[in-house]
Amino acid sequence: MADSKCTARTNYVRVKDIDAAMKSLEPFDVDVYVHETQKDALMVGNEHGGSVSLSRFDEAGKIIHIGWGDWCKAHLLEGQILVIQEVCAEKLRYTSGYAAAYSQNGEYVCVRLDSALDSAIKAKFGDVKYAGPNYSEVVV
Amino acid sequence: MRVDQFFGTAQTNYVRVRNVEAATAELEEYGLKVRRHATQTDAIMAMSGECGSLEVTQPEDESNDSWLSWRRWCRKHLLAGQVLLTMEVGVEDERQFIAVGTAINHKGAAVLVNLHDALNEAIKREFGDVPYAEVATGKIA
Repeated sequence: MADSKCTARTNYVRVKDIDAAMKSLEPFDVDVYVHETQKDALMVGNEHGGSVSLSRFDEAGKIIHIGWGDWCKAHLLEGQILVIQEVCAEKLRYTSGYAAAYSQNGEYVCVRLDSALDSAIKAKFGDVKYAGPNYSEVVV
Repeated sequence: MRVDQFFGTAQTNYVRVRNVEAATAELEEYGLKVRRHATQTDAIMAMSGECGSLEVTQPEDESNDSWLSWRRWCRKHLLAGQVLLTMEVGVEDERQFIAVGTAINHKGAAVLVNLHDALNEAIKREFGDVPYAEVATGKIA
């Protein structure tokens, strides 16, 4: 049986209206924390181990997904950057790392560990063949 | 957030080696688990198990046998043309995310990628030199 573990969280970001920002996250399976001293700042995590994607099912079973870009446009104070980090591991051989950053305009960048390593390998070693770490393939 | 969300795990890809027994013995000496490929009899992979590490981020002093030197291991055991990959992920103290990948060829040449650094570079490239709060610190920009 697969035994996958993931964990993810964001940085603390300052928002325009803390109550509205928290309310907007209520329908989703994420945990929201207000900063101890900076009361207009929050971070999002997942106590149950999982992602911080803003997806949920409605009463008809249809999936509703809100992108973090839209959320940042609606709630972030100008100049704030939301950062998400996520790592996963599964005993049957799958590891992954993901990080993303969103501006208050909804612009984003994302990085995956396997893609970043692939780029580094090509830059350093050229177009060599290698077996992926998450699969049972072998370069013969 | 709860501290029991901690986990760490690391693994390599399957690589073909000159001598499976010798290559395996050297890794097991450092407490790593080694698995043989189901069909390619000269190929193995290594894994740390849960809450473990392949110590790929440790500084390598090849004169100190206390640490496994992956570069030395690759030079000694990999068949020509093989490239060892390591992937290590984990979370420490709730917010220290670890995500590191390395690649080492049979000559011992290596590259290392850290997801945190890669994101920093991507942010600078796309957004410019903007300040932002690190996930690891809990501070605010």
